[in-house]
Amino acid sequence: MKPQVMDVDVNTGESTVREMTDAEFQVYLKDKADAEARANSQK
Amino acid sequence: MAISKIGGTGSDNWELISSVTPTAASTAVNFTGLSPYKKLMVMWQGIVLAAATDVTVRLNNDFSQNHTNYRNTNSGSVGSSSFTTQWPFGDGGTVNQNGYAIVNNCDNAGVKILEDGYAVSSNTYGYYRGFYRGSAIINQVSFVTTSTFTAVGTVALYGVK
Repeated sequence: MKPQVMDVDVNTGESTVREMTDAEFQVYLKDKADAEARANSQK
Repeated sequence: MAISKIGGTGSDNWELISSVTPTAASTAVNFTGLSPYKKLMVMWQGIVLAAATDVTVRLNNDFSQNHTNYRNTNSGSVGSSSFTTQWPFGDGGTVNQNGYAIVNNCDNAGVKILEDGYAVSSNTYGYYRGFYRGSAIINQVSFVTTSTFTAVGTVALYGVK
């Protein structure tokens, strides 16, 4: 199961929670690796 | 949705576009459907993450390597990122996150400037500047974590027409 994201339409104020798309999930995995690298560089 | 002015004199008249509490277990808040704004500001207050990491801001849901920034932190370190998919904030990597990011030049095809960014996470803080080299007018701003939000705190988006 992929993580969830929250879409907020600024025109209507409506928010929708949905599962990540495949493309978003691939970027999420890359972002996660980058975040871990940043955290390690601060130690 | 009503847009309320938060005052201001001179050329910058910031309007509140939207403010939300991120849903528990979500990893991103995507503000979508933006009309062109000259400046945009994301402000996050009292955000509590499920696990210690930083938070990031992404423009136009752009997954290409188009964001870059540099930072000064209270530890005295100076760092920078190569082009990546987002601007990271909160170098402390803790669960508690507060900060803001102001982006200029959002309403045209030019480079978008991260002209002012500040983040506090527990006892660490940092100041950030950078740019985004995508050419499209900004119609989406995302506030992202690789942990998950816990339905604590708010993320607000402001704009200057």
